[in-house]
Amino acid sequence: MPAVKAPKASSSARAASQPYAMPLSPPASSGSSSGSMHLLENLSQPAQTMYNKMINSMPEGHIYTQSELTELVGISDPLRLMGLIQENMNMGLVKMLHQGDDLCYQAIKKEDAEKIQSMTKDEAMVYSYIESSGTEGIWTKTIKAKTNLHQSVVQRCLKGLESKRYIKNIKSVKYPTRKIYMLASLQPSIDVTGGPWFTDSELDTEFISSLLSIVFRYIMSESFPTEEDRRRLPPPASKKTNGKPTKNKKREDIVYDQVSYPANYRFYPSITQIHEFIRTSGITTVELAQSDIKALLDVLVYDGKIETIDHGMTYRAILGATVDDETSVQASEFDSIWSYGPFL
Amino acid sequence: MPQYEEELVVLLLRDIYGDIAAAVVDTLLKYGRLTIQLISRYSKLPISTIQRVLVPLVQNRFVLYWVDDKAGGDNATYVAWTRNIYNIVRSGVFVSFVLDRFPDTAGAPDIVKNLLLYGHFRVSDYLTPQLPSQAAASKSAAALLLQHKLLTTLRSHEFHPESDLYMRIFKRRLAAIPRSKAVSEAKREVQAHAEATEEFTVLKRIHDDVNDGLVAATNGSSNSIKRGHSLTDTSPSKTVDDSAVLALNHDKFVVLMRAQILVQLVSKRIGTVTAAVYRQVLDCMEPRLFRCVDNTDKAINVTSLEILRNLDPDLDLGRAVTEGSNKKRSRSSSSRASKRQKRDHGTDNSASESDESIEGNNISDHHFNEEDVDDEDDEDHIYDSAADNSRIEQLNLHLSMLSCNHNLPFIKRVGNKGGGEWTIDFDTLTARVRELEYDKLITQKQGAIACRLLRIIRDKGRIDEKQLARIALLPPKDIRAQLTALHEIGCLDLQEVPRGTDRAPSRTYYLWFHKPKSAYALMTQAVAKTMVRCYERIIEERARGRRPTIMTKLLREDVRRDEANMLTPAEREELRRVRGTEERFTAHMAKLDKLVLIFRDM
Repeated sequence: MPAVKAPKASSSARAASQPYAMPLSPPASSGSSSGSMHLLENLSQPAQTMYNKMINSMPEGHIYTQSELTELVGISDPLRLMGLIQENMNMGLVKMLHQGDDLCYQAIKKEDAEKIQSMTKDEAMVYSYIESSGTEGIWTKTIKAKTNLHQSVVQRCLKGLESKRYIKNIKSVKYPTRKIYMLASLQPSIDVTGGPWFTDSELDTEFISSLLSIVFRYIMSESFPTEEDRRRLPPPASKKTNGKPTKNKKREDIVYDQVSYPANYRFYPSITQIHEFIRTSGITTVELAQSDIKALLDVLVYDGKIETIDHGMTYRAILGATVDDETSVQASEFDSIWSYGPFL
Repeated sequence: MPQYEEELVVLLLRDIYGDIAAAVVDTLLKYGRLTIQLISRYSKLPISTIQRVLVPLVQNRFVLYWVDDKAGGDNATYVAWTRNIYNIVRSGVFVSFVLDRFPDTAGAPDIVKNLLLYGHFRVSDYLTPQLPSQAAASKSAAALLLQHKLLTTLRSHEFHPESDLYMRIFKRRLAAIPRSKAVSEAKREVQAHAEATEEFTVLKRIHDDVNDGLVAATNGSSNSIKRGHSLTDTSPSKTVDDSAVLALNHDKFVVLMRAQILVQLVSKRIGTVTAAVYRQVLDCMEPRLFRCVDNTDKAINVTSLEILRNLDPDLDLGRAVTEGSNKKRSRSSSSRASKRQKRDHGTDNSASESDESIEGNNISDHHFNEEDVDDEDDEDHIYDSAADNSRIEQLNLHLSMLSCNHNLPFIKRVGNKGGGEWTIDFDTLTARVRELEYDKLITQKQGAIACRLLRIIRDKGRIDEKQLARIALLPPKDIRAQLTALHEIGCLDLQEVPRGTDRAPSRTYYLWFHKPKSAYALMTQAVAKTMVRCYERIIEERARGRRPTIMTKLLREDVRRDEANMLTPAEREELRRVRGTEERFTAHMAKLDKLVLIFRDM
């Protein structure tokens, strides 16, 4: 999408103050949707040539500065050039935009220009604002504010445009009650749809929880020594009963079931590692960025399942945490505290 | 709202000391400080009864008294001391503690039980009615308990309320500062306060002396209290001062309970071997820890050598820590190389499956290859001096595992002499323990989602609903219900930030935040309320079992001695059921008391 700013009202008297100005002299066949050639036919020959050159020589959507246009058509006289541009603009085939301080021009496809011509003035204005909002979409209230039209007028235009399938209504994630409109052909931006966690503007909790458990299992497997590690350790020293009486005879014998990595173990998984794991495992088709993984890891930390080592460089699972949030045997221990209704 | 605590306290007294004692304390709690006449007036009991009942109450220091010098006559005023009455709940745990710790000391549990009964007694009074053999055992038991500070001596000032003691000291100090034109009244008072606080602190810590209540045995004089600082001086030459008055030291008990709780936490979070090491660390520190909330600035350091010396020699430190194979290290032997491959297809087991007895080879990072062979030999000769070196390294490994976690700083390294100096920052650690315990409670009540939200809010300070939903990856609708529920139980609080001048709800931000102190206080009250109900139930079950005839039958001496034969099977069954219920509730009360300990006393 070329970096165009919304066409501002030009301060000079010349040229259009509105992007899709109606032709200054209405052609005889305005209002009827005849073929696209029809528009071109109304142009003079040089104007037609210029238009065709603009369409064909550069990729679609290219913005021409005045100097580029001069080069293109080979007409160095600015007045004449202006005239040709004006003709095209009258037909809606060329659009004028601001790029910084300069004025520049963009060729419009014939079909699009046709569309605009067939719309009413208001509809055209509304359409232009919707188009300018790109993949962000625009709110009805904003349209109303910018066009200064009455609410009912705006509504009518929107309905008309929607029925012609030029625009569509999408649901925003941030503001679920707002009606956001954008061009029918475009895909809503990430901002609006909320990113990988949202499906149909709704938080996909199952997807998230399955991802969470996968990530947790992975971290868990990297956090503690595995079976093989344990088995390679030498056999236990036989308990020596020496002559010295031990101080605490009745202390229970310790169950030697601890296996941990030492304090300076450096190989707990980091974000990049986890990201790599998720990516290569092919669990999901949705592309996940590292920031998404970080969000998942934060949630796991807040669940009390993992903890960060080195202030966030790496992650480690907390001993005793389980994948599911099943309540442990201890859970019912303190039920009595809470069974006396809301506190006090 | 100490209302439920007071209810509990009165209930305890009613059960153990009778209705009148309970009524007197109830009056005192309702009205504050009273003289006997006033107590009589408000409780509608005759003065003689009150006088009779106050005796055990004062003996146990449930009620403190104060005689005002100026008022003249002996008009003593009485104040109830809730905290001490609450400690009755802990009596069972105290006894079992002593049994655990000093299993070979015959006289110890008896001393404790008698102290629970009488509140305090003089040593000579205790020893006189006993047979000589018993007396000797009791004497040594008392000496042992005194050394461990589970018992302390009582001074006369400890029967007075603290506020009165302080005021007396303050007045004295104030009078000692001469009036002069140069120093204003306010300044005098400030200085007097400072001096008085100092003196008061010294007074309160009078039991911290190592030789409190002890005298040298060879030397016959009873007043030679040496100012010794050696902590290893447990020589048998010290024995109990016969004229000392003994009482239970609940402060020390809380310290020991705290140690137990911390060790349990280490065992859960890291492992059993490290927990044993940690317990040893706490044991080494214990003689210097007199109370949990200690406002002195001195930090207590322990060295690795000291820990090593006291560590159970059978404890195999090496069996718990492993380097693990990893791709960055070079391997000398093929077995380890094959190990590396096996580890790569990482297994899915959670650490809780590590139930078999596991062998440990512990090697520190850079000594890996060279010391390998040495360590294998050393495992079998633990008492070699060469092995001692590696044992201290193993010990240091465990200690560094305890200190490496920033979320739970069990221990902190502060120096290098003596193989490594370590200290424990109890304030941060106990705060963290409280957080974890509270999280556990919230999870049990509200569920894991609520706990997630609580942790996020705790981390972020003040946060609004939308942000919360975004961070927690949960839909806003679900969150709202949880948040309001947490708000109801006092866990969270709302902060309103208006956007405009009007306070319309749609134009204000609502920020959630968590205040730990008030949340814990509210929860402790709920715990107190539960304890009240629990105890009422115990009393009910005990007093009115299904068949009162059993209870009366049990009062007979011959039945009590020989229950197996004197009761019918049905009666025995009934008894078992009633006793079982009582046990369950008492155990439950102990668990609740542990919560109170964590949140209020630790």
